[in-house]
Amino acid sequence: MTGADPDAEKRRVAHDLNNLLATILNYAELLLDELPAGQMRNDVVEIQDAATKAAEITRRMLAGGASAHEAR
Amino acid sequence: MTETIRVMIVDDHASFAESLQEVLRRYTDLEVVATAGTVADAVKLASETRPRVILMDQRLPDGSGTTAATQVLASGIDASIVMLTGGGGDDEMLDAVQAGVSGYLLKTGRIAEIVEAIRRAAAGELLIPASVLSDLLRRARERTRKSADRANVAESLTPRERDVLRRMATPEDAGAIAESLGISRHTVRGYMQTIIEKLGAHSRLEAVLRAQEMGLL
Repeated sequence: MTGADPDAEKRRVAHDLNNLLATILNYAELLLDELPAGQMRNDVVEIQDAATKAAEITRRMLAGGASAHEAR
Repeated sequence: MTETIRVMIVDDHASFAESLQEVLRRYTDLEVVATAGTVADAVKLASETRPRVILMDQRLPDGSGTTAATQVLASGIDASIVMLTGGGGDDEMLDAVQAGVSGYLLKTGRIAEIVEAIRRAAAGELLIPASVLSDLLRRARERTRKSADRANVAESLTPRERDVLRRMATPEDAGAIAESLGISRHTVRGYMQTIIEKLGAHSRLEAVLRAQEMGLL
């Protein structure tokens, strides 16, 4: 028995995940600044949309509200 | 030519800080003058580089972003602090606002929002909408009232009542408590009733729960 707070551990993991998603979103914006209209640009927009949705799930986890399942 | 806005990023996730710095580099009116990953570094670098706006993460290895904000502002640096967070709870936001930060943004928000927030914070604007601020102030008053209630209850309990309260949180019945305290069972019951009333509860269990909520146990 470690005595660790499982909620605190979940928040820490959500925090780390959120930072990675924020990093993905930042670089996606940088790419979108460079890419002309076309398939590659559309692909980056898809990455951006997925990362934004994932970030919303982590935001709810950090706020201690709904579960990831509810946040879908 | 307008002066550039000096920005400091405080975040312990180096990859995020680097990506944000990279993005902000594209805006000619912004200049990232420092990045820090701890409260200690944030305070030190803010003093050395005098940023106009500090983008502050809430969770840092050696403390909270709110602690760092408090220390930076207390040191007399004329900076506006914008919390960039993952979206913590209301208490976190309330603490940050009470510490004197100018805004609270999601770090996964659009870059355009973050850049706009930096510009507005640099101009001395408060970035928290009036409705959110009003709600936060209401919560602050509520928190103050609860804190005062807790202090009043704690102050009203005698040392003997505290002894009994601690034992009320155990499986011991009145007889066992009486025996361990060397007093009569009748007296223990009297103490228990007084404690229940002082805590505004209706039962032993409710009293114990309220005492735990108030931090008395």
